[in-house]
Amino acid sequence: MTIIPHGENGQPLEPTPRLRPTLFDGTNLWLFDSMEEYDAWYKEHFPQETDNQVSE
Amino acid sequence: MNIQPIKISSKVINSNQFIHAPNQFIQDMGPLAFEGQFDLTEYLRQFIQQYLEETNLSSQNILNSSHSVITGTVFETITMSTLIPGGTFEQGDVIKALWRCTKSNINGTTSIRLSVNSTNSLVGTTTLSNITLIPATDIFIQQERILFIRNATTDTQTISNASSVSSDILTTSSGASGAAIDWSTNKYVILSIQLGSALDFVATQFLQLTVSKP
Repeated sequence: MTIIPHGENGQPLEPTPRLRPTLFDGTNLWLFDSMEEYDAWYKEHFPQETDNQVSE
Repeated sequence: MNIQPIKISSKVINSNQFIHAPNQFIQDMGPLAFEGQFDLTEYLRQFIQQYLEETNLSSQNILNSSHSVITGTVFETITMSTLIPGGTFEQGDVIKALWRCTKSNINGTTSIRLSVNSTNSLVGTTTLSNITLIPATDIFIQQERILFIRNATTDTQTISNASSVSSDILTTSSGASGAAIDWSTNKYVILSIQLGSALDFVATQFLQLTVSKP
């Protein structure tokens, strides 16, 4: 992740690249390098989500 | 003379995309192949006419699905916003705003506000909805508001912004509310979040605006 400039309400000051997730941690606004990096971070921090449902 | 008009392949392309992501717009059109001579002026005229026909649809989608996570603060924070170029929304339009968030950790409640502003900030916003005190244990949050533009500069109607219902498709004793928003100039539609606990994470998956025109 890379720190990018943000406004007082956590909003990016410049448009972020298309489909590149961001994370505001209360101090810095981070731009994920890729969806793969975001997916890995998300699975670690949102562990309660279920996997895709499968039919039996 | 052999004029090959461009066929815009997808009706999803809209003026917002054209204005704010012209490079992507051109990429989406694909390679242009010409045979023989062609009249550039006529070609551009056809292109513009076709573009206007394709974009003058009864329904358009404006979607921000960039993913945005907020944590570490209990101050209201902008999670997602979309620039609406002046003149995009007009009298008689119906706009459905739909958004989805997911939450991790259950330490505090969540408040979500949909607002409109001339700048991408929370100073001086007009609040369209303010859904407060979503229970801490609610970790899937999907909400919507339907706006009706009675007047493009003075009256955008929805359910009262004090209502905390997730959807305004309902019958209720709450009255309708009119917001004085001038859509003839550039506006940001802003989704902002206020966490009850800085230890929680709220991820916004998307903010979608569907515009239906008369």
